[in-house]
Amino acid sequence: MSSQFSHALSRRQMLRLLGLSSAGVALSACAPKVVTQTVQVPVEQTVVVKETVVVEAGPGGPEYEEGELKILLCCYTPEVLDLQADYNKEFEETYPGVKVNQEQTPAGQSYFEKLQTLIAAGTPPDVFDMWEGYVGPYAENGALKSLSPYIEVDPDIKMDDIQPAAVKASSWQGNLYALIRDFYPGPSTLFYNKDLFDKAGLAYPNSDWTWDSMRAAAKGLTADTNGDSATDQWGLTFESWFVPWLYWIWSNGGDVFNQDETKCTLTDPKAVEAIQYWADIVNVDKSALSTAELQSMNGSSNAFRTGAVGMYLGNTWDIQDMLAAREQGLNWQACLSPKANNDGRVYYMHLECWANSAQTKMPQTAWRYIRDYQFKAVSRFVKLYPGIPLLKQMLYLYMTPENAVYGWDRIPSIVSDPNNIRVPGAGAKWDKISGLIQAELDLVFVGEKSADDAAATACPQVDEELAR
Amino acid sequence: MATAFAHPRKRSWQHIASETIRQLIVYTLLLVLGIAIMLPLLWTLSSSLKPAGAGTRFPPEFIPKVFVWDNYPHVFRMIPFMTFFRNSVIVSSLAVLGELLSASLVAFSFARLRFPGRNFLFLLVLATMMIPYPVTMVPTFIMFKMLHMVGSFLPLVLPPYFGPAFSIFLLRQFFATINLELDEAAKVDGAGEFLIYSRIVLPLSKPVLATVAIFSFMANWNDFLNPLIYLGDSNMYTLALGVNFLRSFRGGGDLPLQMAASVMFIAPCVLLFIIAQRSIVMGIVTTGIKG
Amino acid sequence: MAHVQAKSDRIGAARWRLLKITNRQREAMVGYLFLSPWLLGFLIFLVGPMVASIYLSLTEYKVIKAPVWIGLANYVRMFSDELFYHSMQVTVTYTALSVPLGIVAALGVAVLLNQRIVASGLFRTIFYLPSVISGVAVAIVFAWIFNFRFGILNYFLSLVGIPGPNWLGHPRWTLWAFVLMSLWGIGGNVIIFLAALQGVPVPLYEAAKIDGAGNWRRFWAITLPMISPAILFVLIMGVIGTFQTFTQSYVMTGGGPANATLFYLFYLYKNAFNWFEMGYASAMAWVLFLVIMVCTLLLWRSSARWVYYESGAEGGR
Repeated sequence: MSSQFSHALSRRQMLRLLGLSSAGVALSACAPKVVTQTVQVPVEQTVVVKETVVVEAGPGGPEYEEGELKILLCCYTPEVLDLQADYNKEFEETYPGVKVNQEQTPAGQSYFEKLQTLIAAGTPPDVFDMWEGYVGPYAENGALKSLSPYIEVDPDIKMDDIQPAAVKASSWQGNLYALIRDFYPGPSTLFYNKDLFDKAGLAYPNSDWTWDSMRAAAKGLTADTNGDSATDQWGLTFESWFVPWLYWIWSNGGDVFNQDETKCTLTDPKAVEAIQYWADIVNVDKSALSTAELQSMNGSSNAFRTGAVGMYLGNTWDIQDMLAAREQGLNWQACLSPKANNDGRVYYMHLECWANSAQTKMPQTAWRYIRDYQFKAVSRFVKLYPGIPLLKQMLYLYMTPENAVYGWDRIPSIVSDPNNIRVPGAGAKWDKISGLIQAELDLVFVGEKSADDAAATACPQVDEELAR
Repeated sequence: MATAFAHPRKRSWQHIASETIRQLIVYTLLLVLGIAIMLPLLWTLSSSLKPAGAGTRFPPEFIPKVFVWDNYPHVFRMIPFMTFFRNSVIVSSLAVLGELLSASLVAFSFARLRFPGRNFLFLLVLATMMIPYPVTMVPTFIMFKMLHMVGSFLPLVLPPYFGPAFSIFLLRQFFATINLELDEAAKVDGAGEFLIYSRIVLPLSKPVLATVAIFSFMANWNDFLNPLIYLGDSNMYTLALGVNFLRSFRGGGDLPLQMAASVMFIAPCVLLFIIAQRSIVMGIVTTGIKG
Repeated sequence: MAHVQAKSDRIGAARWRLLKITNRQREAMVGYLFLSPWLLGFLIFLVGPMVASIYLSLTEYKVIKAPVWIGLANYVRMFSDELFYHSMQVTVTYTALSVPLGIVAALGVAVLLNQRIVASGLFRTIFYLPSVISGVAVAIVFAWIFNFRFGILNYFLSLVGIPGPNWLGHPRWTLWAFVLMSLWGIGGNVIIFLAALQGVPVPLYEAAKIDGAGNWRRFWAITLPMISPAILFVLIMGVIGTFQTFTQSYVMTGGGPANATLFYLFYLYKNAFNWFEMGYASAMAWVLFLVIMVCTLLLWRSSARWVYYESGAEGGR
């Protein structure tokens, strides 16, 4: 089945051959048809023309299976739908005999209800969306097809061309189980309101700030502007779900689990210190929105956009909302989120990826779908969801001038060390464990508990979960 | 209630005054409660006319400064609204029809006819409502798959034809209140059970039948989960699914669109309710005559 | 016409007697016949999945992998699961608060609407409308109503001098917010009570008035008993339904804050679809079933004492 390149040509020979041929040359019916696309990949100053190869079937045996390829897509926007429509059409043209049947579900958990029901009933889609943290559990339970054998013989996707962080996030027991479209660190961006900073006479944040600098600025920005003895302007706002608190704990040098994920390490001083630090900004400094006020303002992103808050710890996908807000007059700018006081900067890894079903009857076609996507659709995808593409050769898509303004151009080098961008671990158990911890942290952020006590209450429960 | 029959001697000024006060209290209470109750709908309506991005301002503005009527046609541009609408109408009407037919038959049996095991079976009916759906969802889906019905409207339309528990229970309670003497009279005339059912009980139950129709229609119309897992082809999606698709957009700026879609989504239910109201009123007239 | 009908029926009755089937038995047969749609449906659509879910409760079932038999281990686990007890407690508290309150409120509104007032139809529609509105809109509106700073609830409280709490953000208050929210959805029960109220024969009231009964007396002695079947219905449906509360916590609070709104069904759902524990979830479902069943039986049995059926139908035996 993996004999898609039945000719024992080495890669270099292949390249030379293709370098000589022009696009769309059909050789005799006996030989495989070769269709080439040209992709310009500027790497630093040199321009290297690489040709990507899509090989169609010859009479030597099917290089791909014909039939109906079922795709299940989650949480899309109209632009993504357009992208999919175009890509599907192109795919059908490239592989005659294949019909792409795409289903989609709206945002939210309902995606997994549908996916799991389909898998349980024995009719899984051939290609489907995966979320970070689910790749491991699904692979472990035999729902995903290992992609490593395909990558081994692929002419254009090489393991060392894949971003190491992506490898870590989409692998299980040494094999790759998903092809990431792109990934984003979170929370990566500190949005700030220039007008508020100007009024307070403070220097703007920059990508080298630490938590202390941010905290000081927040204090300076918090004020009661209309004299009714109630604060109506705050320095900082942030959400308190697990993405930010993982970022705090990790950046400070702590972690939720120990190395082999057998014990909860939330009670370690570094982790507790991180949580207490941010909780204090809310409860002691009172320069960040409390949960009550956050409720009132319908979330941090919204609160920031009303102009009542100086800084917002946000993500890459907030950009669309922010751009809209700028048009309505919000004078904001953005930079990288601050480092911990010990200079640590570790992000949570969000990602978008495709996986193939282990039970698919069209494994070759399914593989083709997701690997061709890298070369034909990712460039467009990254424009919609600015993230780091899977392949290092595609990194240029992310290094745009706009992204540089926000400091995002520094992210790839930060995350080239895979320790700086992580998924939480504990696989299938993370969802429940994060809930247990969140229940305690909720109390910390309303000021009812100290981080110490919260960790002390949560850790035994976490240990119990890990042990099961 | 039956104030017209008050003893003439008692119609003093005091009485009229207390009557007026009573009416005032009633009206005031209703108005206050009514407004409070209407808030969600009013807010939905007003939000549907706001420009994109304005929907999440706090404090929220009730009456938008600019009425963006375009939000409504915009919904039609975003999703194939009429297709979804048509599908929902088909599924819901078929389901309501089945529910009325089967539930009334079964409820009549429980309310009127005696047979061994009646109480036990009735409790069994109740029991079927007590099983949380997440666990039967997967086995039910597999069962429908074995019947080759997945991907069609059948899993959504067929179950109501087989006696849905809620309606059975409701109708049984109401049938049980209908005077038994009517039945006896009919039996003396030689009517069979089916005639009693169709000529006596059903006509007297118009209010509650209308109620069942409304509830059933709404449950079907709003059902999101079943269409989600049983329908694959987007041409067959119901409106509940379709409206939810608008939620998929990242960024909350599309709240007004969602609200516009929501307004159009609930409009048929409201209309149906208003129509069915007349049935309830007619029912009053009928029951007022009996006894 | 009736003459002919009667004659033919007597002949028909004679035929039945020939077959040695008594009237009682005939009625039973007809009873089952009328029952057949439900029986069929039960056997085809319900029994299979129900049996399957019992079986699943005795397995470890990750949904994407085949079930593995583990016997009663799921049930044993429940007894030491803190979240199981917590979610049950949240659900029971909520049910005990919102169902009675809801019935009283719905009955009150129905009585108001039953008065001879202008535009009663309009008011009826108004009260029913909230039940029509979908989850997203409701969630957003209530997020506003319960808003700590700008919400009207806290505004009204402040007028009376009470500082409004953080309804949706603080663990102590969130469940109360949900209880209040449940009152918005009484429209359905209002309609049912209204239909019941309008089924009370007017002559009964007239007779009572002549006997000198006042408003309250009439209400207690006539109205309530006459609509008691409807009350029983609403009560039982309320208990069954409220024990299965799910959407509000799913859409609005995600079970928080600090698990204050972790309803049983929500916890079950998470086990089933988020945590790959469909077997455990199935076991939880059957425990819930038992709990609801017991409550319903108790209510049903008690109904013999306070529910009055005009047709003489038996209840609560």
